[in-house]
Amino acid sequence: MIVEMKIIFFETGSLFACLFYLYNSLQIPVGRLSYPGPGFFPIILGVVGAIISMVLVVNSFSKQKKVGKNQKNASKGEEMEGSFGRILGCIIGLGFFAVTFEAIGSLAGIFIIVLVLSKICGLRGWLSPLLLGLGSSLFIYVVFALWFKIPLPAGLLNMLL
Amino acid sequence: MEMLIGLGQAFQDVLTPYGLFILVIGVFVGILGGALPGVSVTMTVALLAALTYTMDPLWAIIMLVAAQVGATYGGSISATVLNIPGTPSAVPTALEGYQLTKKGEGEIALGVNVFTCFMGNNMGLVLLLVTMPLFVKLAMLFGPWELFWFAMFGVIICANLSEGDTLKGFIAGAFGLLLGTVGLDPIDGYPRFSYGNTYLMDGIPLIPAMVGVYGLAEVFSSLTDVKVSGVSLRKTSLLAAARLWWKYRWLSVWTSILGYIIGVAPGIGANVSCWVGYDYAKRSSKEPEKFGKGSIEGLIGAESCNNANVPGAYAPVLALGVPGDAPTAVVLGILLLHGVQPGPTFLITNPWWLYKISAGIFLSGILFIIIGTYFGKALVRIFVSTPPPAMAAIVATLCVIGSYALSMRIYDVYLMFFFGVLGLLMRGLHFPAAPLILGLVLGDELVDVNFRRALLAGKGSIIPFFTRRVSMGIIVFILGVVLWQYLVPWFRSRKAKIGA
Repeated sequence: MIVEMKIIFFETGSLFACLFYLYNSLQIPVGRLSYPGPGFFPIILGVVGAIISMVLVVNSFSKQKKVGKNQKNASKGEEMEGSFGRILGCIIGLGFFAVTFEAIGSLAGIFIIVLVLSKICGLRGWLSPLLLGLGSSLFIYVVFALWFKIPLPAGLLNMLL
Repeated sequence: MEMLIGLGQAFQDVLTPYGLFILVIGVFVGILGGALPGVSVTMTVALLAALTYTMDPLWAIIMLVAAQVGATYGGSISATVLNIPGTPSAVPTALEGYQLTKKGEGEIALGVNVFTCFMGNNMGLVLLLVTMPLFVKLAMLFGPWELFWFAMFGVIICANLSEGDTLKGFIAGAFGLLLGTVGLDPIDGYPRFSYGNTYLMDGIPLIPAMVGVYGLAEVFSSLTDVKVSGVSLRKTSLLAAARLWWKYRWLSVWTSILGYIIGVAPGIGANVSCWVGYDYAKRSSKEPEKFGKGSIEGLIGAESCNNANVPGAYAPVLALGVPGDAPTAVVLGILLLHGVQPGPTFLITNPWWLYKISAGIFLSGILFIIIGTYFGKALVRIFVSTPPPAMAAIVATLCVIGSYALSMRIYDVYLMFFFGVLGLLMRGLHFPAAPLILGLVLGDELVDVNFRRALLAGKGSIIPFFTRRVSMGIIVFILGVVLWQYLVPWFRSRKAKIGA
């Protein structure tokens, strides 16, 4: 039941997204059939997307009563909600890493994020997360920065040297 | 006879210490690049191209060919082991290979991959040598009408691939196409849906989107899956993998032929061919219910088509100077940099180029069997012996680094996050993610551009879409695929009823 409601929300969201896309497509020059402009194809796509979304929403509403008794789907939804804290922690940790990555630098940044994420994900003890952080940091630096010559940000290391 | 003499001479020339050194470097860097999330086949070839500027043009091309062959195989390693397809063409491999790894059959999946890649590569090579003149003529018949229909064929495959509700597959594919139109319009240069943002004007980059939908969403998903605590590993040998391949040899042969044909058609490439191969495998399978849950047939279909596509993509480069896909575009760039201009008369005056490149492709295949078998096995062993939380932390970090490494833009990382969350939602609500990515691949360059080019060329008439011979052939093929999907189960159930 929970999953079905979520599906309806998601499909309604996709319907609104298609309508928003269609509205924006109408602001782009459409051209004519012999010289189609940049908005020509997006309009067709927006209409098709909106129709499919609408059919999906109607289908889901009609199915809702039947699937309401489906306990298997409900338990999956509850299972997802149970680990919501972990996912949120992971998103916040990675988001913070992404924002500060260029300032901190790749070596220190990867070490910290792997350490933090492995704890959020449930790795026990401190020695394994520390070694994992160190190993990942060195591996990524050697392969990406030294071997493939990808200029990963030096950050703090640049300031120290 | 002339071809056999030419090939013999080419093998003699390439099988020198210097030639082998060039091939080993190319294949090893290729496998590593393909296996690393965020480093695509094109990126690997482009990065290695920087080393070839001062080399003899023929050796430079052989090294890049080896890297392309290695990276095409390498993409299947990360797809199978980590569920992160390094390239768009490895997405179907991730669908099946990762499920096998989760069941403890990662080594079997990698063994089948390496053997299938080798066989697909060689079948593509044989086809390149035998049928090249014919298929180049056919590719020349591909106008924007045919390319549009071919892309639409890809969209129909999207819906075919989705489990359960076909409409969910269609909406995911439509969303991919919508996202594909973001950025500067490739014909008029008009900014679409970018709202003045310079980052969005470049369009939605494929690699961060793919890394997000597959890599990050998998990390999030593994955090919700409380049952995953460790994976036991069933060991296998290359011989056992070869036996498995032999069981499905005809599937491999047919999908290799399809992959080669797609490779010859300019501008389509492995991103479409892998799905064609996967879809063919699913439709012809006696156990279609296994697809998406770890099907060996799915792996063989996708990888045979994918690898046979590589030799196919060299046909238009050598005969017409038109790249078959993005990596061969890099190769063509290097050829032009060295002052070599391929074209219709090029192979008549320089036939040894075809033979030496063919020798390079064949020997690269042998090398990736040797390197890939041990490298891939080592990777899968590390994966299964690493605790899942540690694996999740490493994969999440690789997703960030892989997205950033593409063009050193932090916005790529933010975009990867967006797609990661979207992928998680889609997974939780039973929407297939693969059509979204396929739509994003096909959206801008193939569907939109060719649709408008066709209307321009036809002076506004839609009639050529249906009346051109090759277009009609593709339409009949699309209808055949759709009807096959519904008619075969209908015939089977009817047969079962009559039998009962």
